[in-house]
Amino acid sequence: MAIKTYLQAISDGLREEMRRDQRVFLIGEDIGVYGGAFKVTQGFQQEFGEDRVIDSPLSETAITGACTGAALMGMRPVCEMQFSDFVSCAFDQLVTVAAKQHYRVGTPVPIVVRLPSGGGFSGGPFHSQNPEGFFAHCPGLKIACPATPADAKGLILSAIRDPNPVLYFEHKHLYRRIKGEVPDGDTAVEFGKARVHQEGSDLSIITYGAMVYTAEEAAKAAAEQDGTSVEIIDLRTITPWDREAVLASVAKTSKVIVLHEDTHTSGFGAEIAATIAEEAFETLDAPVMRITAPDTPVPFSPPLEKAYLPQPGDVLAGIERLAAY
Amino acid sequence: MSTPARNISAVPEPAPAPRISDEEALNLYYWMVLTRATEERALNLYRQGKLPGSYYTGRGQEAISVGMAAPLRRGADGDWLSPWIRDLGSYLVHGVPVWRMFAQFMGKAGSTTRGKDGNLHIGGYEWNIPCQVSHMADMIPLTVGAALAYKQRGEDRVAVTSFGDGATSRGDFHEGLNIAAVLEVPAVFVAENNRWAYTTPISKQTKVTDLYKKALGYGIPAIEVDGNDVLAVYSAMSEAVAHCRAGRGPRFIECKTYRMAGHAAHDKYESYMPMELLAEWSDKDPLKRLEQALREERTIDEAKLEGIRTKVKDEVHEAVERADDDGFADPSEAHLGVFAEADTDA
Repeated sequence: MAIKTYLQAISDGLREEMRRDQRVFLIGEDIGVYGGAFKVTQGFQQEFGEDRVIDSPLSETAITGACTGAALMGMRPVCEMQFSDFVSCAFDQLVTVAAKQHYRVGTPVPIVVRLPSGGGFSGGPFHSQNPEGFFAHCPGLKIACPATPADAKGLILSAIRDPNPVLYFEHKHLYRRIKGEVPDGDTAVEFGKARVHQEGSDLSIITYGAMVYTAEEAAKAAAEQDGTSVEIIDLRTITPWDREAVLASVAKTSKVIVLHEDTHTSGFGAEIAATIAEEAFETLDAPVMRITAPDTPVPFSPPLEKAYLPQPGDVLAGIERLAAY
Repeated sequence: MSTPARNISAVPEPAPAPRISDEEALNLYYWMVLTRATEERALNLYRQGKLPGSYYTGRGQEAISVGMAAPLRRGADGDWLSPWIRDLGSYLVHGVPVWRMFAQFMGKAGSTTRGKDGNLHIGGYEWNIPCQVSHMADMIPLTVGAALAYKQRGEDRVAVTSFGDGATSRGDFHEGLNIAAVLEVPAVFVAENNRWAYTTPISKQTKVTDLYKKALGYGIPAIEVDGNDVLAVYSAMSEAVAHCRAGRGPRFIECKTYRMAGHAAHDKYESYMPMELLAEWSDKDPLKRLEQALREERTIDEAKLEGIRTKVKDEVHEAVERADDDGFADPSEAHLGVFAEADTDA
C-alpha cells in the first residue's frame, strides 16, 4: 500500500498492464517523447519503445478508428484524447463502428479511450467538458469515471482487460490534487459496482468523478450545521451503473440528490432520477433533486466558471431544501 | 519504426505486363461470373419482394471486386479485407459462402450477422473481414489499425479496404491516409471511381477527379488503373500487396469505372444519370471484356467458359435454396450481444 496521486495511479495502471500484456499499446497526440500533455505517460516511450507508445498525428478520428482495427486484430489499444472535449471528433468512430461491432457481427472491440475531462482551472469551452452523457446514450460503450487514486488504477486495469470499448474519463482537477492509498499489485476494480464514499442516514447523494469531493464538502458542512447525516454513493462507472446500490441507499435515506458536473438536460443524472422514480417511488419522502452544471458551454473566466460548476454551497442548499420535507 | 527510404512523391512505375496464366485468368472469370449471377439473382428476389430493405448492386464493377481480392491470403490468419457496398465479389473471393450472402440479404439466422445487419455488412474472424458500416470512409482508419497490428507484430500480412469516390470527401479518408503514411503501415487503399455517389456526379464531389492524386498528396505511392479490366486490377493489386508485405508502407490504387445502375435498387437513376454515358460504359462491360480476352487472346475453348457458367448457375440455385430454407433468429436475440462477455485470456 502506498500513497499516490490520482495521476500516478493511472500511470501505474497503464505501465503495469503494458508490462503484463504485450498486446497493450498506447497511441495519442504528444504522448510519447513528451509524455502527454499531463505527463500521464512520461517515460513510457523509453521503457516500451516507439511501436508501443505511438505519437500520432492530430487525428482523433483516425486514432480511434485505428484502435478499433488493431483491436479486431488481437491488440489491446489504449488511446488518449488530449482533452475529453476532442472526443467529439471521434464520435462517429465510437458510436458507428466500435459500439455496434459486437452486436452486429460478434467480434469484440477491446479498446480504451482515455479522456482527461472536467473543469475548474479556466480551460474554457473546449478544455473543460464532461461529455459522458452523449456516450451513455449509446448502447455498446462502457464508461468509467473514477474519483479516487485506488479506483483510477483499478478501473484502468479493468478497462484494458474488458473486451468492449471503454471510455475512461479521468478528471483533470483530480490529477495532482487528490492523493490516496493505492493497494499494491493487481487490483482491478469491477465495473458496475458503486462505492460508498461515506455512510449516512438522512439523505443520499449519487455522484461520480470530481463531484464526489464537492458532495463531501457539502456533507461535512451539513453535518456541522445541524447534524444532517449524508450518504455519498460514488458510482465509479456509469455504463454499467450500480442500480442496486443506488436503490438500497435511497431505501435507507428516502431523500436523494443526483449530482454531476455534466450539463443538465439529458445528463446521466436524468437516467438515475428516472430509475429512482420508477423503482423507488414509494420509499421517497421528497422529490428527486438534480444538481448539475447549467445547459451552457463551460465559460472561461474564474468567476463565470465558478458560477457554472456545481459548488459545495449549491449542494448544501439542496441538502437543506430536501431536509425540510 | 525504420523503413527503407523511398521516393514517396513519385507515381510508381506501371506493373510489368501481366503474366497471368490461363488458369489464373479462368479463375478470375469464375469469380466474376459468380459475382454477377449472385447479384442478378438477388436483384430478382428483391423485385419479387423476397428481400427486406433495399438492394445495392456493383454491376460493372466486378473486375475491381474480384481483382482486388484475388491476390490476398484468405482465412483467419490471412489478409484483412474490408470491401465497400459495390464489392460483393470481394466477399466471395475472400471465402464467404454464396448461401450466406443470400441469407444476409434475407436477414436469416445463417447470415454472418444473424439478421442483425443487412446487405453487404458481412464479416467474421474466419474470413478476416471486419464488417463494414454504412458511413462511407469509416473503414479506412480501421484498416490502418489492422495494418498497424501486423506491423507491430512483425507479420507479413496486409490490410485492404475499398471505397467509392464519395468517400474521398469525408474526413476519415484524409485522416486515415495521412496516418497510414506517417505510420508506414502495410495497407492498400482501393478507390473505385464509379463517378457517382448516389445522385452526385464526380464533378460535384471534387475538383480533383483523379483520386489517386489525393493519395500522392499524403505521400502514398498511388496509381490509376482501368477498373473494367480485371487483369489490370489483379496485376496492380498483386504489385501493391507485394510492396506492403515487403514492409514498404501503404499503397493506393484508383480504379476508374462506372456505376451501371442506381445507387440502390429503389432509386430512379434515369432522372439524374445521362443515358448516353451508361450506353458508352455498357460497351466496356468487364465481364464481356474478359470473355473476349479469353476467347481471342488466349484462345480458350468456348465450352470451357460455358462449363464455368453452368457450374455457377447451379451454385447460385443451391445457395438460394439453402438460404430460403434457413430460419430467422429468435426474436429474443434482438436484445442480445450488445456487449462482449468478459475476456477469459486477460
